[in-house]
Amino acid sequence: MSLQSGTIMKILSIFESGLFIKILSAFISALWFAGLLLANIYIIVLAIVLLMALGIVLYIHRDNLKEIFQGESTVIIEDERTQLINEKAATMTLGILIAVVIYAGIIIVALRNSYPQFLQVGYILFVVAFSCFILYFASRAYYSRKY
Amino acid sequence: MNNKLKVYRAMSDITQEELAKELGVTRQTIIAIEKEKYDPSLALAFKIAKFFKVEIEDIFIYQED
Amino acid sequence: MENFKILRMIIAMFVGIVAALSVIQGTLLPAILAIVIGAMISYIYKKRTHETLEDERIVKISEKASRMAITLFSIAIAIIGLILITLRNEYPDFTQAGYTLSYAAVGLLTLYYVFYGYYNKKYGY
Repeated sequence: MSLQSGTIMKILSIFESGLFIKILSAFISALWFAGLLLANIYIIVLAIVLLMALGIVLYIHRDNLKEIFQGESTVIIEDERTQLINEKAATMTLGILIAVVIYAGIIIVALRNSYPQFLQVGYILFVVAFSCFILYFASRAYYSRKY
Repeated sequence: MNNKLKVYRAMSDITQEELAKELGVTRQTIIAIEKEKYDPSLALAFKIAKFFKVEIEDIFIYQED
Repeated sequence: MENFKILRMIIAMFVGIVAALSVIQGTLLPAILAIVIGAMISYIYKKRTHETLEDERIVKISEKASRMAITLFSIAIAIIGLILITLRNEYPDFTQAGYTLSYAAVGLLTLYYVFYGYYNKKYGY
């Protein structure tokens, strides 16, 4: 009986270990590639379902994420300085992306009589810029309340 | 911001790696602070001062623009 | 700061209306002029005003919001682009949209890593 419960605990700990999550992530990435190459939406749907399941597992163990991914290593990878760099890089990227996408969208749609085949691209760029704005302002509202 | 982190670290005979580990930051952050390229947050500045058993003003020198 | 918010809204509406009209008419010049004029007015106001337009708290909020927006946005457009390309046999009309989104995701990541390298160097590595 104790041997059985020991085996079960071992299996459960494998599911909780960082290694299992890494293997699952690699498998999901392989599914993305396979679905894309084979033009098979069912493989992509399977990848999305597994990704959501992985997300749920990580959310349940959100307090132990450091132990799961860092394991025995004591090397610190991220601190306030790397966070600052991430945030500043994100700010610049977002600003330039929105500006470039809007200008490109305006140019492409304005030139639709000369280049009608690119009209869809222009509309998609408008949608991209608009979505980015919405996400940014929603995040900003969230952090304004938090701080 | 000017600081005397390197001086205090030398006085305590501790490496950048060891100090980084004690403070819970990367070694690159310690290097950046010593080179005065990065100003630590208030929390980290207090941690550093507490580690060396001095006041914040002893390590970090505030200069008006 | 309230004055600047109102001015910003007016400029955004002006640029939006002029850009929309010029796109409808199929001309570029009014849109470009509107954007340039809007940017100039905003810049001149910022230079001349004595209001505090932003402080470290606002900058911090803006940076955190940007990080969250970029993370969610890049994942969303990569997945949506991938799905549209995958469905190229069933919905060939949307393949171009899929490629546009995928290229946008790649461009976003490239830009992000360029700026990451720049700020990494700036803050001491």
